[in-house]
Amino acid sequence: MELAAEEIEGGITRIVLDGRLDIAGAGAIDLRFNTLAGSRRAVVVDLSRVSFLASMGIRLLLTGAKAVGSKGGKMVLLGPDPAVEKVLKTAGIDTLIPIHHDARGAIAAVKP
Amino acid sequence: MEPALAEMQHLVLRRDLAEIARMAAWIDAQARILALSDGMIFRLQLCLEEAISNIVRHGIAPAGGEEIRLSLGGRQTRVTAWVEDGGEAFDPLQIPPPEPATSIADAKPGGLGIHLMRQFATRIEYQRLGSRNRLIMDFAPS
Repeated sequence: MELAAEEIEGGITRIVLDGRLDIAGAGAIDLRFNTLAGSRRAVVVDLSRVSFLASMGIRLLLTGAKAVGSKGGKMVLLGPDPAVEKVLKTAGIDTLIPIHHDARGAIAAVKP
Repeated sequence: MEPALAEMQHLVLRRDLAEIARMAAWIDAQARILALSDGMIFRLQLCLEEAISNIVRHGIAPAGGEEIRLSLGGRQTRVTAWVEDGGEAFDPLQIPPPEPATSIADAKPGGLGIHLMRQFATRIEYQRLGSRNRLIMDFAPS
């Protein structure tokens, strides 16, 4: 599981996750992910390279979104593949962390 | 002819979350024999990760009951997984579904594993056999 973070326009952070967001994958990145989420107010989490998602991965995303939200910030998810999106929707996460399929929409949604 | 497992395949796991990676590789190998679709593999991997991590994180095993035994059998269009452990009786089907959170502040991380298993397996059955728990999950193309 890989995590890359970049600052894009206007104080927005894009976090790109790459690999399997299973129990091992979530464990491998949770410290970095939570540190980023704890210090940013506008976060786009790019899931387009995530091939698998289980409940520990959902926990990671939810914990991050709570950290961003507690500071009055916003976090959205970008581009999950259909299987990953189905897990997110089955878990009811899409109502808490909006899912976007185009980068422009995701950026607009978190813009301070 | 539809690909099938000639006999039931078994994997014995320790009660350790690190074992889940070894299990995932083993499931992939069985899935190749069965020529399973990506969707079926995803559902198998998801439900079995949730089942095993629940047992490891919440199950209390008496001495000698530490092993978890995973068995897989079936054919391309109907795969069955059996998960057995020697922990205290625990029927995941008795756990009510999580209350949907109305806001990110109210959302409680966790408690989703069993809900996902119920939604992604075609059928789930729990049996208590002596001092062992057995969870049976069937997967058919949806």
